[in-house]
Amino acid sequence: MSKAVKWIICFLILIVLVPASLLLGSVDIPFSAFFGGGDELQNIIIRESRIPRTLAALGGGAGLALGGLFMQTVFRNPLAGPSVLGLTSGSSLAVGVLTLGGGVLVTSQFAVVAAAAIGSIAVLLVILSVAHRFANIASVLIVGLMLGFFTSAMVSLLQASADESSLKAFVFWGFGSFSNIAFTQLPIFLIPLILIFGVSPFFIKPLNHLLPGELHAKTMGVNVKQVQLILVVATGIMVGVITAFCGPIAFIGLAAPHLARILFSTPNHRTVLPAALILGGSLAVLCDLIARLPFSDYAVPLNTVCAFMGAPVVIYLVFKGRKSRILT
Amino acid sequence: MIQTERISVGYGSRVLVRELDLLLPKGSVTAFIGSNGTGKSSLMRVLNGLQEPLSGKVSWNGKDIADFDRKEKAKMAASLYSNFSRVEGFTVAELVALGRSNFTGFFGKLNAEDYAKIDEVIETVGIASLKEKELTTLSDGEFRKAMLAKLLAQDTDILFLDEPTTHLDLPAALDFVQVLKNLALQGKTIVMSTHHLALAFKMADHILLFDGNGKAAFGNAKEMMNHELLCGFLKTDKIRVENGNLLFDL
Repeated sequence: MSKAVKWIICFLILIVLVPASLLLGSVDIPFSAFFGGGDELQNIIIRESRIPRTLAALGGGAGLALGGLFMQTVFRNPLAGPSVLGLTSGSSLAVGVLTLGGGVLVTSQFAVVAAAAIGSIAVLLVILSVAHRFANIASVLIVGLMLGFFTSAMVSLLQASADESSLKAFVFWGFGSFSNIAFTQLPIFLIPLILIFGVSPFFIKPLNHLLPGELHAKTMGVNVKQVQLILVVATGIMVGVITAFCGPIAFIGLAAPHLARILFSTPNHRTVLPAALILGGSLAVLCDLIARLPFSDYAVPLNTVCAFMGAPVVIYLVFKGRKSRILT
Repeated sequence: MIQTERISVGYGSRVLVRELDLLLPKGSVTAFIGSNGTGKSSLMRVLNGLQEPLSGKVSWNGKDIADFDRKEKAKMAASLYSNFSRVEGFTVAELVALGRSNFTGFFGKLNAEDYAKIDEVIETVGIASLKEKELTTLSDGEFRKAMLAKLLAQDTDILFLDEPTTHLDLPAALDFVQVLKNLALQGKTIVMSTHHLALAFKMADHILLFDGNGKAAFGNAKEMMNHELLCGFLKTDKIRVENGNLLFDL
């Protein structure tokens, strides 16, 4: 299959999924509603629910995929993902402190968003403050993983002592959802992501030079420390924003870059980076679509769907995904 | 041309090379010889500007390397280090294309000139038939040649090669060294470290011996082929020199 055909498949998947996400749900919207043919209720659903939700899934999925790709290349570890630096755990802890710590149910969406962002940025700052002490970036990865374990343990402590209603609110946030964003909040969510997406092609060359190793990148004139720092910060910002609005979303950041490498049979970032963005966005829209169980009155947690979809992908990678590995 | 002035190399209080003066002319091959841990790779990194010297100065073509920025260095010198990973999924052509990085724009798009250069260097190192092969399917010798092609695609005056013949069988090593010799004849300045004594003396114009305690001996290959010198620096009594040939007492 030629590369052009593969790109067409990527775009076709997106072209099919986006309208499906806009039209399908507990209330079916006719296609004509997007061209002024809908009633008042349908217009409200489209504007306040479907459009923000679809854009959140597209942006969030693409952001997690890009963060995963950055982390996998920077740490030269195929199992690295946005959650690997402990950023999502940091968000969870901050939200946990807010909703569980005081035993008071916090109902303000803004407070949860702010707490999640502060949590991930706080972990990021800790990592950045210690990063310069290590000659090897793998040490930073280990620090991130340990911070993740530490913050998860703190969350468990908070959960153990929380009252039922607070625990419920926290658990619901932890399920992950692309439906928490209001139309008016979309700019706050999308602008940082779009800015990072826009700048990311400028890192294609350094990312490719990092594939064979840091020493090689240095001999090719890459300022390795600076590039690593920029990519870690960019990932931190993306994960912070996405986790803040959508909760800790698993697997997409890990799986989408691998899917891109498998589909295009190359680790070259000139291909993998845009492909990961498209596939990450598509994967998130697909998971969200499945999670809301169209044609029924029920929904399942987004993270449940992500795990059902993501785990087989990772298992497939272990057994068959030779091309997806970036290390020998 | 590479020149050093009273260069010292080491780590903290441990000095591996002390106040060394070198002059490696354009088109010459210099072989670094010494036991493991004596400072061959460290000096190479210092000469390449990847590691700070303890003291002293390195210059390329008369210009202090401290005055080159990263990109300029990559345009002047290309390096082959043994810890280069075989990126799975990369073909030989894709690997060699990395060497064109300094000639491409922000997004690394190759033009006709880049593709022509890639074909030319793959041909030069004798692996034209492997151009579309994945790196993971290559033998060690073929992979080293692919790496050398990547270095040549960088189109630099200077080549640094850290133990390039390690793990190669003798025919592959001879083949590789022949390519290097031809490159030197074309005007490339080549610096390589090796444990392959016989090959080093056969191909190099200059030899630098390391003892790892700050002492180094530098000279042309003919004058360095000396029993006392070699045995003293390599801490062995099993090397003999007879009629300009190296012999090993076993």
